[in-house]
Amino acid sequence: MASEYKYDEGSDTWPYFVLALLVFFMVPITARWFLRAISSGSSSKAVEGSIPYNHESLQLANSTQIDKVRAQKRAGRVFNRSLVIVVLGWALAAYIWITYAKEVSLTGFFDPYTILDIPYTASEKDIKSRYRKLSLVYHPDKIGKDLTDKVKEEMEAAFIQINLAYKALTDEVTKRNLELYGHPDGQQEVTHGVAIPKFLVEGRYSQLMILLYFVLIGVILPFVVGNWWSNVKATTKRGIHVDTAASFVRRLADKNPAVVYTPYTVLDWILESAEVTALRGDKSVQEIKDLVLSYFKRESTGSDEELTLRVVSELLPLLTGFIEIATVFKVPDVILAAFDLQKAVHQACTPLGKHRELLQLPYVDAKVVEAQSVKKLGKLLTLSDEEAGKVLGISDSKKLKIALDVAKNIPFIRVLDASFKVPGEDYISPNASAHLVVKFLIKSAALKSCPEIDDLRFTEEETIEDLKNPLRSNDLPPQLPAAYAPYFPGLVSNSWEGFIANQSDNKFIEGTESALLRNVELTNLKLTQKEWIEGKEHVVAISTFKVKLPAPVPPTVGDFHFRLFLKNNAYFGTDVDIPVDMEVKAVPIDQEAVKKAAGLDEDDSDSDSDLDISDPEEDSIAGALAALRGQGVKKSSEADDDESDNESVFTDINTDTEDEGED
Amino acid sequence: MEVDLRYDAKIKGLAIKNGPEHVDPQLQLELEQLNTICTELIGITDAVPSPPTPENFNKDMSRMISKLYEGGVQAFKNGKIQDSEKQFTIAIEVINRRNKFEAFQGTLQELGILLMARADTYLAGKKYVKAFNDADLLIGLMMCTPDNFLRRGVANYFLENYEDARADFQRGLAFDPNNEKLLAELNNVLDKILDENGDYL
Repeated sequence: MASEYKYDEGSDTWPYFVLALLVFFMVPITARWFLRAISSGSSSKAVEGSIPYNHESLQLANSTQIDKVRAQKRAGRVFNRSLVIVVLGWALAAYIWITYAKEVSLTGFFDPYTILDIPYTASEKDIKSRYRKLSLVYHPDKIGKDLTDKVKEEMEAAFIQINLAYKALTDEVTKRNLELYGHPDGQQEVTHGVAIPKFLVEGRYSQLMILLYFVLIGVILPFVVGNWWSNVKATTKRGIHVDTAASFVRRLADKNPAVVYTPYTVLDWILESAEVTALRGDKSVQEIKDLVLSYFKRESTGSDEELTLRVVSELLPLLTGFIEIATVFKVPDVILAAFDLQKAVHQACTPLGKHRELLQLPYVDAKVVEAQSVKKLGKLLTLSDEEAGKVLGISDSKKLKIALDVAKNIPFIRVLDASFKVPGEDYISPNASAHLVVKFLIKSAALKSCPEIDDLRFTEEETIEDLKNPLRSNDLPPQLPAAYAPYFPGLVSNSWEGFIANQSDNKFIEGTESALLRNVELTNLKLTQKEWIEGKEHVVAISTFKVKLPAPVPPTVGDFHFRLFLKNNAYFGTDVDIPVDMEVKAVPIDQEAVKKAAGLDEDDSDSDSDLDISDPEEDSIAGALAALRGQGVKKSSEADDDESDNESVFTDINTDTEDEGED
Repeated sequence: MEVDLRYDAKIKGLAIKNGPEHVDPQLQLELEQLNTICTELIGITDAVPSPPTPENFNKDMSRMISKLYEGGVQAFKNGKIQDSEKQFTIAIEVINRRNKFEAFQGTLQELGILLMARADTYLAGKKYVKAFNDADLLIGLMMCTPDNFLRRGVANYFLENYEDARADFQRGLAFDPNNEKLLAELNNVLDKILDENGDYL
C-alpha cells in the first residue's frame, strides 16, 4: 500500500480548510483594528452644550504642532502593524479563494423534498399529486418530439431523479436507506483524507514540511506566545507600564501624612514614569518638567514644542492610571491634587492658585488676572464687557467675546439634594446596600441664585427595573460633549468622577471606585436668568446622579457623616464637595406581630390565621430563627396572660416607630 | 541609587560621603532620624532604656512645659500676644527635646494642648498661615475635635480659601451637629462664597 491516507490530490479540500482558519483569525483582528481606527476619528461635533472652540478657531500660535501631534496619534491608530496583518491576511484569503475555490457540487447529495419541490411538511397525498403532475411533464412518453437530444437527455435524468425521490418518500426500504445513510440506494462509499496536498508529504517537499512544522512549533509558537505574554506583563489592564504602576504604588505606600501634596508633587511622580522616560530621549526629567511648566503658562517652547505636546498628551493616561491606583489607597489629598493637575493639563493653566477659574479661559493675560481681585467665573460674568476685558487683560473685543462665551458655557453643578437610598425602602436599615442619590441642576456661571423646585419633582417612581439596577437612570441623559480644551493635543471626553469619603477620618470609604458621571442634560446652559429663576418643569432640567455605596450601610443604628466629591476632569471651579448625612434606623417593628403578642386582637386572629401564614411560636425553632431575623414572634400561650398586663409597654414602642416613620 | 554611607565623628552619626550633589530628601530625612535616635539612645545612662510607661515620663520636663503653658496663657489674657506666642513655641520646642524613648502617649497629649493654644495665639495675631499649619497638624494627628476644625476653618477663611474653610466647618459639624460657633462661621463663609461668585440666594 502506497499510503494509508488519501491526500488532497486535486486541491479540493485544503483551500477551504486554510480559508476557514484564516477567516477565523482575521475577523477579530480586523474588527479590533477597525474599532481603534474609528475611535480616533470621532470629532467634537456641535452637540448641545458643547463649547465649539478649538486650537484652529482660536488661532493659537502652536496650532500646527497640535495638529501634527494629533495626526501622529491618529495615524498611529490607523497605520500600524495590525493594518499590515489585516491587509496581508485578507490578500491571502482572496488569493486562495480565487485560485482554488470551486463551485460546490452537490452531486452526492440527495434530498427528495427539494427534487419534488414540496415542503418538508407535505402529506403523502400531496406527495402523490405532486409526483403525478411532474411525471406528466417529464415522462419520456410525454416529452415533446421537437426538442433537441440534449434537452431530452436532461429531462430523462430528471425523471429518474423524480422517480427516485418519489420512491424514497413512499417505499419503505428506500425510506430507511435515506434515513440511515442519507441516500436512497443505501450506503455510499465514504472517504477519509487529510486536507494537505500529497506532494507536500510524499515527495521532495516532505523535508520542507518537516522543517515547517519544526519552525512553527519550535520557533514561531514560543515567539508569539512569549511576545504576547511580555506585552501583557509590561502593561497593566489600564495600559500603563507595570514599572510606572509599581512606582506609583511605592510612592503612595510611602506617603508621608505630614506633608502637603500639591499637583506639582503628582507631576514629579508622573514625569519619572517609564512612558515619559521613553519619550524624553536625552533630556533630563527637570528639562521635561520645565517644558510642561511652560505649557501651563501657555508659553512657546520653541523647537521643543512638539515634544512638549507629546509629553503633555502622554500625561493624561498616566494621570488616569494614577488616580485609579490612588483610589485604592483611599487618600483624598493626592487624588484631588491629581484632578487639579488633570485640569491644568487640559486647559494649559496653572494647577494651583486662586485665579485658576479665570486662567483657564482663552487669550487671558496671566499677569493681569493674578494682579486683580476677581477670582471666579461667576463674578466675572456679572461685570460689564469693558470691566471683564480689564480683569482678563484682553483688549481685542472679538477675543473677549470668545473668552466670555467659553466662560458662560462651562457647566457648573448646583446640588439641590443629596441623600442615601435603599432600593424599595423609605429608610436606611443597618447592613442594607444603599446608594447616594444626588439631585442637581446644571447651570452656567452667568445664572444667579437658584430656582425654587417643587419637592414633587424630586420623587421618582421606582419601577421593577430600578430595583434590579438602581443606577439605571445614570445612563439615560445624553452623553456630555467633548470638553473645551484647545491647548491640549487630543480629544477630551468630559466627565465628573464621584467619590464618597468618611467625615470622621477624611478617607474614602472602603472599596471605593470612582463613579463616572458622563451623561448629563446640558440644556440649562442656554436659559436666560428669568427662565432659570422661574424653574418651570420642561424648561429647567433636573439631573440625577446615583453613586453606589461600595460597602453595606453600617451595622449600627445612628447618624453617619460622609462627604461627596464630584471632580470634573476638564474645568476648574465645577467641582462639588458637600457633606452628606446618613441616618440609619432599625427595622421597624412588625406592628401586627406585636399586637398579636399582646393579645389585643384575639378575636381577629382566628379569621386571619386562615389567610395568612401566622408567625411562628416563640418556643419553636422557627420562632427562634424568626426572632434572630428580627421578625414578629408569637408569644407562647403560657406567656399570654402575663403580657396582657403590659399593654402600655407595647403601645410605647408603637408610637416610637410611628414617629420615626413620619420623619 | 548607590551612596557611600560612613560614620562621621563630627556629627556623631552617619553621613553621606562623596555622594552625589542632589541627595534624595527622603534618604536625608531617614538619616537624620536614625542619627537622632542613636544620639538619644547613647544619651541614656541606663543599660537599657526604661519602658515607655507614664511612670517613667520625665516629670521635671512636664512641670517646665506646664509652667511655660501657663505663662503663655497669662500673657495672652494680658493681651501680650507676642509673648504668649513665644512661650508656647518654646514649650513645643521643649516637648521636642524630650527623650525619644519616653512614652509618646504623654508627649502627644502635651503637644496637642500646646498646638491648640499656639494656633489660637496665631489666629489672634493674624498669622494665619502659621495658625493653619498648627491646626492642620492637630487634625493630622487625628485630634478631630470641632474646635480644631474651627481653628483650621478660620485660618482658611482669612487666607481666603473659602471652599476649604467651608469643608472644615462642615466636617467639624459632623462631629458636633449643633456647635453654634461652627454654624455661625459656616453661614459666614457661605455668604463669602456667594459674594465671591457674584451670586445671591
